[in-house]
Amino acid sequence: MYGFQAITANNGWAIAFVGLTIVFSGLVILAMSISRLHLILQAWDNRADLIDFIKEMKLFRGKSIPVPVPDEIHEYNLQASMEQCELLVDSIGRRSFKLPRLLELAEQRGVDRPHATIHNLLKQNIITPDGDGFYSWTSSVIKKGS
Amino acid sequence: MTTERKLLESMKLFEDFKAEEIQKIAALMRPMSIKEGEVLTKRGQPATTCYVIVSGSFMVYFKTGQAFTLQNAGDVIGWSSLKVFANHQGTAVALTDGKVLSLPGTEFYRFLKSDIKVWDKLLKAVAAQRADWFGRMAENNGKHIH
Repeated sequence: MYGFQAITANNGWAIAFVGLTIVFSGLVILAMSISRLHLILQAWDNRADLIDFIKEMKLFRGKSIPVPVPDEIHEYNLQASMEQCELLVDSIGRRSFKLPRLLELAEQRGVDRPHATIHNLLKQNIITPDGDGFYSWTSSVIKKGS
Repeated sequence: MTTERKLLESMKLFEDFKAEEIQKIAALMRPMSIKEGEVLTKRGQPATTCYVIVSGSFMVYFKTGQAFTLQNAGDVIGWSSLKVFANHQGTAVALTDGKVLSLPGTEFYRFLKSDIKVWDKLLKAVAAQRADWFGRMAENNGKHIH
């Protein structure tokens, strides 16, 4: 027995169809993976964020998500940090000082979140630029009695 | 329309660029999350990437101790990467958490090389923006310009 008869007699058509399906399915999966490769690489680049997200998910699974009340805590720390910065700025001069120097001092002296503190001081115009790249401390943040 | 493209279109730097040119540049950009205190560029190190600010506040400072802050979406950090074999002139540090779009200098340079007209347009736009920036700095002497 030869040719198509032999193929039919030995389930050749079914085997060919299964083979065809497997190969094409593989190609489809491969094509889809390649087309989504940029997302996988993006996720890999931002894996730290992804890990944080997963950790948060695990942390809050089955629990109600606590409502953050950062203002009181943050304001308190911010106020303390700003006061520490004011004490530090006295050592470099309140007028035309170098902002990176204040940041360096704040880091060395362990001021809580020195970068955010300086950002807030700039935002509140307590530290103002003189236009030449240097900065001045304009008003005191130290509360009386503290 | 992607975030990258929207942001580029809103930037004065790219106002004379055609939509397809902006699309090509946007395709080269990669979004990055930046943490408070993270250093984006370091003075004296090879300038390989420039960054377009999406959100957050950044301080750029120089050898002299002069510094300025950037917090507007579309502000650029690391212009030196647009030159060939240049080092960063300043150090850029994040004062707050933020997001930037990174533009690898080599890929951007390859893109510019492929279209000399776009390159010419970009150089003129960069020169105009820098002149405008220094002009504003002189005008606003004593004021916070950002």
